[in-house]
Amino acid sequence: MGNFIRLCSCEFTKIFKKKSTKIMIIILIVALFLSAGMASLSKKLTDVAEDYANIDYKEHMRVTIEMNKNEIDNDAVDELSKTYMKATNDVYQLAIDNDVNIYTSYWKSDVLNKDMINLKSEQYLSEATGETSIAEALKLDYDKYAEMIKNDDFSGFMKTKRDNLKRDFDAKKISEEEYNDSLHIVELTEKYEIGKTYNKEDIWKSQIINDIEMCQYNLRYGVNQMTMEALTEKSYEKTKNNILIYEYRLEHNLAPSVSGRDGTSLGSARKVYDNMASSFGMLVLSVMMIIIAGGSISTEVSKGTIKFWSFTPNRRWKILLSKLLVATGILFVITIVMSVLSTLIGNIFFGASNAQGYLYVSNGVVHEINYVIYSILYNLVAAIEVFVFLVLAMMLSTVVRNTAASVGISIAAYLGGSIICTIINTFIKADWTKFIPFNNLSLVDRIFTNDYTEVASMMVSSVTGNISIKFSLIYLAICTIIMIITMFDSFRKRDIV
Amino acid sequence: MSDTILEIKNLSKYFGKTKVVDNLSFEVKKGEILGFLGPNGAGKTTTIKMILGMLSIDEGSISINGFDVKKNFEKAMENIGGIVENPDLYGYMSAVDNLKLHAKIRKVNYSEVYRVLELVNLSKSMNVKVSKYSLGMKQRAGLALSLLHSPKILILDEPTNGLDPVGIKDLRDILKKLTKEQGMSVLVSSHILSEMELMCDRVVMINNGKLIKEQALNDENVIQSSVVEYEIKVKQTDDAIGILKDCGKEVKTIEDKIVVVIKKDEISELIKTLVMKNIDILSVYEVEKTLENIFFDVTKGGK
Repeated sequence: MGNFIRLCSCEFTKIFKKKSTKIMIIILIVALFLSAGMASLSKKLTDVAEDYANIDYKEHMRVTIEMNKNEIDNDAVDELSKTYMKATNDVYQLAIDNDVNIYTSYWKSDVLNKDMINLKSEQYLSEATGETSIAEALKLDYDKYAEMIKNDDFSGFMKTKRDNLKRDFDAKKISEEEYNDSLHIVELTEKYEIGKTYNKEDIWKSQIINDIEMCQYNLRYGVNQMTMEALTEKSYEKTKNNILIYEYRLEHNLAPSVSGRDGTSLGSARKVYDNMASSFGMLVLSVMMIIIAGGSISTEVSKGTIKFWSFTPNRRWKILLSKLLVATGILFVITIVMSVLSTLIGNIFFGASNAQGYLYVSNGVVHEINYVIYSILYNLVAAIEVFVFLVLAMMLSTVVRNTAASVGISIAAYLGGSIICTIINTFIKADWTKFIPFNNLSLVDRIFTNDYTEVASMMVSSVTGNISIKFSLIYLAICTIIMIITMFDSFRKRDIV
Repeated sequence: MSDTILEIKNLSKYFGKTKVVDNLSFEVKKGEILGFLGPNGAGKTTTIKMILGMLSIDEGSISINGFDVKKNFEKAMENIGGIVENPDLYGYMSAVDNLKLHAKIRKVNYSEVYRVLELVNLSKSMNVKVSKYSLGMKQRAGLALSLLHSPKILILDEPTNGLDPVGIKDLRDILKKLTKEQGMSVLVSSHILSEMELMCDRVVMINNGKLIKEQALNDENVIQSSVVEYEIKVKQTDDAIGILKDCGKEVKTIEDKIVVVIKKDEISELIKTLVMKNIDILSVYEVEKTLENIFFDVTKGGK
């Protein structure tokens, strides 16, 4: 045992005296700083795209009004459309007169575009048919909304919404379930004042409200709205938990890392940095580990240095085992150090208060894992994948005994495997595709799903999501064990040199 | 413990169907430098790799200090040091760092590292990276590495390759010193015969994987009784031939020299006889029966 520890310590010295290792560690640190820079940059770029405050909304509305006027003068257009356009023009004119920015105030744009235009056009239609009493009632309603807009009366709007829901429910237009769900949404919107004022940092909130609505829909009808697939018992549970987490996010003001229907709306800069630093860092680390593992046996054989080791008083399998263990140890230790370092850099650049832990549901209660522990856990899961490729590289190094081949093949597999799989998966939809090793990777995206909203997470793993984590882990373990056995068998039986 | 440090018994090795080492048996005794001779491709390196556990043993057995290489590998390797082919150290580390790695593995004190570097005269450049060393320096660093744990037997494969005459002499001196002072045994392979002659106590010759001859060198008894060729130059060649023929010796002439083949202890008597008969001797030259001659005789005979 003492001998073996000595072997490991020698192996460690050898790896860290190499220039390539030192260079890769420097690159790793640079990558972390680079991610910080890129995160702030990407956040800035998306912010510009999303900054509706600078749009000249009045000009937009005037253009619409002009276009509608031209259409109204056109005889080919039917009366109903003309009435609708007229109503639109009236409503927009009201918005222009009262400086209502429909781009930055969601609830107002909601009121204007949905309720008021409808009321106005119905009013015009009633006046045309001579039903003055109905027209009067509609006008009253319209004025009520107009008053809300003018007075910035958000809670008034919410109250009206609630009243309308109650009315629909009493008239049996909607079921009790639907009524409760919608009422809940209104309550959330009112409580967190979603859409009341424009704030580009809070855009995710309205997206989360949309997601909650979708989850409610899915639960009500037992069908996934996006994929049109029936919910399984597991996804039923997951959807329920998602609603809990979304509400927790609203309550504690925790933006998800990715949200929005297109999955492109980014969370806080800190969150973007965390994701970027992790994926970037793990990429550099994986290349480093593949270089170390891919050269471990083949370089020693080609340089002849293995000869001196072969007649030290250690059996051959011990020499190989020490190499495997040391490489694995370095991988996991650097992962942990990197996570802590990444946290520090994040704290320096984006502030410690913005750090966000991981949310998960247990027994119907949302818990938050401490940020540092989460970041370590997240990277350790990512390191499991790197470990598989480390073993692959070391196996190739032992069997092929060519550093370039083993490093090249392993890096190509690590970077290109998922791409090839995506191609295969788009053409072949069969159950056996789950036996392709690459389909069992991207563990991180599948384990820590709560960081993305429901829609966004479907984008991340549309194919691999169907394979259970348990299956993936067992399958990867089997693959790794086969590679390790091959490696040891080859090293033990074949002659050195 | 017996005097035998390394014992090879009926060793055979196949590369595919060809038998590279064929039923080879010999032993190395304590404190002895054994030359391991043979032409290129005779199976010297293969045998050495089998001794050091780099190649598997197909038939026969090797034991080092009483421990079988196959059955008790770790114990056997504790007593052995060596250099095979090239002395390959890690180029990106200095000699000291390289040696310290091995000191750790062999459980040797770090002070030993400096002692052996001093021994091979490498103390001055021990902190330079090995990749910057000349071949001779690498050879010495390799030697230092193999001496680090004071092995009972040292295996050297073609150690004089790439060494200049001074380096070869230094190596010889180091080896002689170690065998005398520490009782270390050395197995040294080479195809350069003149080197072996100066260095070894005994040689083993192999060809096509087979043992051809074992020969002790520098042994007084052997030398005295051995038959040697003498070239004698005299003024009166014809007279001298007559006299020698009268004595019952076989005589040849090469140009103006007389060649006789006699035992080594007969030469003084012969010279006396010639002088008594008033022959003027200009020179007497002993044509040494060198290893080379033996080697060629043997290898030719083998074919």
